[in-house]
Amino acid sequence: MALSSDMVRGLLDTMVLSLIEEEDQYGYQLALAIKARTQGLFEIKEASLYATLQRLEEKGIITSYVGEKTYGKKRRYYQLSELGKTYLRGKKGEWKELQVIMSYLLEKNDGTHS
Amino acid sequence: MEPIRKFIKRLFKDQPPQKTSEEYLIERLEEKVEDLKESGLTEKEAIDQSIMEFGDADDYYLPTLDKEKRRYQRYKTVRHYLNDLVFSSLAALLIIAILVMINILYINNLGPWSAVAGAAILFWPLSIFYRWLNQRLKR
Repeated sequence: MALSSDMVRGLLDTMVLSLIEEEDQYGYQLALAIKARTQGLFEIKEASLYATLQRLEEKGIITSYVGEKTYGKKRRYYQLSELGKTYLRGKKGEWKELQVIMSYLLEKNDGTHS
Repeated sequence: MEPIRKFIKRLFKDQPPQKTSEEYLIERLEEKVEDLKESGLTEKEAIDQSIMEFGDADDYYLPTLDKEKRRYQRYKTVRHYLNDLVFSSLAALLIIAILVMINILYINNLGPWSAVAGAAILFWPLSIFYRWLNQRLKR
């Protein structure tokens, strides 16, 4: 099932930042990582991904540097800033809270219908 | 890479992002092209695949905040009013010229009536000019 735009918009930052937290990555590498880690269930449009990266960098949540890849040309790698680490902690907290809230609501809903 | 540059320019023809954003996107796409070439694709195949998988302008604006989206929407509206203004001004001038010609050549026993009709017609571009000005001030 395709996720709605509104839902994706709210989750993009957390998705991208949690992957950058593990290791510094460049744009296309992140797109591949999101697809692989979600078992192919979610494939981000690169236009959305790059816009997210750009916005996060403007806000100082991530920083970028030009690094060498093993082969070929240089890539722009992204890493979490100190502000980004705090921001991601907050986002993870929000997500856990939302999971609890939704599970209360949906489980009750399922119970009444079953 | 020229095809990548052309693609980005075409994609944002109606909703231009900042100039720096275009360059930023071109760089990211070129990185992907390099990756695909390293995996064995020819340059043309790599460019085609990168363009196909990129998404469209709506995907680009998806993560932006509502405030930014409204700014781009307003930019489009201002451009739209500007087109209307040019069209209405030219059309009004043409109609007034025809009226003046009729006034002088055919119906000249009622005095300079075309001046009154012309003034009324001028309200058309003037009203659009007023709306365009209002939109511009909101920016």
